[in-house]
Amino acid sequence: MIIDIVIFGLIWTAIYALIGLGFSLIFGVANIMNLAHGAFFMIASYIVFMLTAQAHLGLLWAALGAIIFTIIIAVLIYWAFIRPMRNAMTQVLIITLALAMLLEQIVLLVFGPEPRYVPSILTGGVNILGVRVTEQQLLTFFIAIILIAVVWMLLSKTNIGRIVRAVSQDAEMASMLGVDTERVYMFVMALSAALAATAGILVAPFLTVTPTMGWSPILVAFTIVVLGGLGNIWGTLAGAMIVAFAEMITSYAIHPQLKDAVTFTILILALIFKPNGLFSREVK
Amino acid sequence: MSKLRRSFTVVMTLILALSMLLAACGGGSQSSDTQGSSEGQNTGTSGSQDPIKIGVIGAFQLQAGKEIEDAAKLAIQTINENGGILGRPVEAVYGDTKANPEEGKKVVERMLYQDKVDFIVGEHRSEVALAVQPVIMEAKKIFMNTGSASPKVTEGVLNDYEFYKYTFRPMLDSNQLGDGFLQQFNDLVTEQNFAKVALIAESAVWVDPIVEQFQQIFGDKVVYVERPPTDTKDFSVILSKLNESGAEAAMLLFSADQGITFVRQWAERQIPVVLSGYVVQAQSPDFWAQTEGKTQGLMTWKMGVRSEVTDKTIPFWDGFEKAYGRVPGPYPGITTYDALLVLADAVNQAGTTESDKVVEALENGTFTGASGIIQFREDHGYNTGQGFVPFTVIQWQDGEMVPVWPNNVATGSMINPPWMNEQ
Repeated sequence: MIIDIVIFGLIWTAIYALIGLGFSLIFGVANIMNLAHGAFFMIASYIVFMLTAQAHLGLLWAALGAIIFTIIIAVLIYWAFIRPMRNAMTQVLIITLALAMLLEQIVLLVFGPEPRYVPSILTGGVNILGVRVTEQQLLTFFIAIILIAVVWMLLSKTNIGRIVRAVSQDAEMASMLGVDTERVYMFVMALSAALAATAGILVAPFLTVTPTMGWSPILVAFTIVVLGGLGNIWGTLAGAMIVAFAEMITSYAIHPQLKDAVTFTILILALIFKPNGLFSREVK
Repeated sequence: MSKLRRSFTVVMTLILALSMLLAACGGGSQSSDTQGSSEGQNTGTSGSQDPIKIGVIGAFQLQAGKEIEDAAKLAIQTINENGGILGRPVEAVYGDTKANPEEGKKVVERMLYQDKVDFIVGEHRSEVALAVQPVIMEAKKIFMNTGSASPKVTEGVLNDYEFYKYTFRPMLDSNQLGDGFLQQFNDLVTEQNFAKVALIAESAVWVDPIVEQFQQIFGDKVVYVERPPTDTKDFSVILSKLNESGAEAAMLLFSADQGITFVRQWAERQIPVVLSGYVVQAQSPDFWAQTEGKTQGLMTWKMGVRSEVTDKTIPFWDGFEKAYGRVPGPYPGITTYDALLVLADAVNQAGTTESDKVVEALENGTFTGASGIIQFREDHGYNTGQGFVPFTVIQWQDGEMVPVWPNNVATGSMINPPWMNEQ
């Protein structure tokens, strides 16, 4: 059973890290706490459902379409609603919360409340150390790890990454040096939405797709950001690992009902004792 | 205070405020629109007389509610094609209760006092049925409740007959359901000589007595019992524990949206456990596609199967398929169809729409429905089992829902999930 917990804990670590990374990036770089992040996750799942089950497109094309569509929605939301009041954090919070609800209601109207299904990219199962894991879960794990590595490379090894980090550290100075900060924010918003959409597409085949499926990832993403600190990839991975393993161990040793409760407990403890993240050198 | 802590406080305040607002509005996204649609269904009868109006209620946005609406349309079409009731055409008034008790009360009040319906039929949510029941009883109109399983719906008939006598439920209550699940599972365990069994039952009140009985009946054979919440999204750990327990068969009791996820993970991980019980999503003809065929071998209770239960069963099944291009799905469809046909028969026998006379006809009559022979008990629930309405279990086999239990209804034999044959 310990091997089961380790394997499924690692799979969910990768998924949570993918969800948390996008949320952390846009918060860390642009100071935008995007409560519609979970809605992007949900919308991408529905777009894949629509393109596969209704438009009968191939799964990879549908996934690509879903990511592009989600990015377009995210950029439009940023441009129309967030940009005008980007410096007012509370207003942005309220706006993104309202948008998350609006997107949920639109999906409810278009697709109805009944659960939908998204086909798996891979449909079999494989044995790992005696534990049978679905191929889709394994694929999700590897794609998530690759994407996290790509984002790390992008931010640490490329010119775009240097610009993003500069804006993150001092937007005013970066702006004075000729960086178009608005374009950087929009880029990060698009990247964040793409990560959420990819997570949704990968996870949807082994979850149930409903209009409310975006809320649970928000709680997880928030907890990961609190644990790992803003825009910190390694912190995000560590935060995701803590949440995923805590949930697995609780589900196994105590009761599956307490899974969300343990996430809330971690969140509250982290806010009290480590409000700047586990890896922060100073606490204000 | 740090930025994160401040943000968290704001988020929590917003969520709390929103929850209070939604609660004040009567709950959730489905509470805003109180209008039901009214539509005539006259076909084949003279329009010279006033139509008999029947209110049909249900949460039409949900799969079970949609089934009520579709089956009611088919039943009313059938009744009208056969001369209506008392020679008068039948007209339906549809009211969407949105799975909300307060919304339900508004809907039936409008039906009773504005649309002036003669009877009300439908509703699969117990909390809504219990909320609308006193309103309908107050108006002394007949309420055929066709989907909610709570025994409380018919308790009133025994405790306060004069007030509640207008309530009838042509549908199994949760005690009858529990008996059916346990009897079928017991037959399975005995026939297959299973030594270890498990129970995975959602964390819900209706399941509690069944869990207790399960443990009493199977005693030492029970190696694993799990009560996951109804909104469980991932069953990785539960399936690992089930596998580790060594159980050979497990009873599932899932009335929410867990079915697709559970069955997919069970098949993809090739967990060597036979599954039977109740998976509401598996009653839908779409379930095969939703699980990409991974439901092969899963057994579930399904009200109404395409088998010669009565002479109305196969015509209902085929008529439904012809009308909607799909086979009948969740149970409230066939129960609503039967309720309307039984009501039509009873009114014709009584010779009047006067509620007291129709109650007498319903209490004393024996009716033939698509789901079986319908005879109401003292509490106005109905008899089930041999000679009445059978408790039927289907198994998914190559894209079809094949009736496999009980033997007198079965059209096929039980098979194992494919990976269990390979072992």
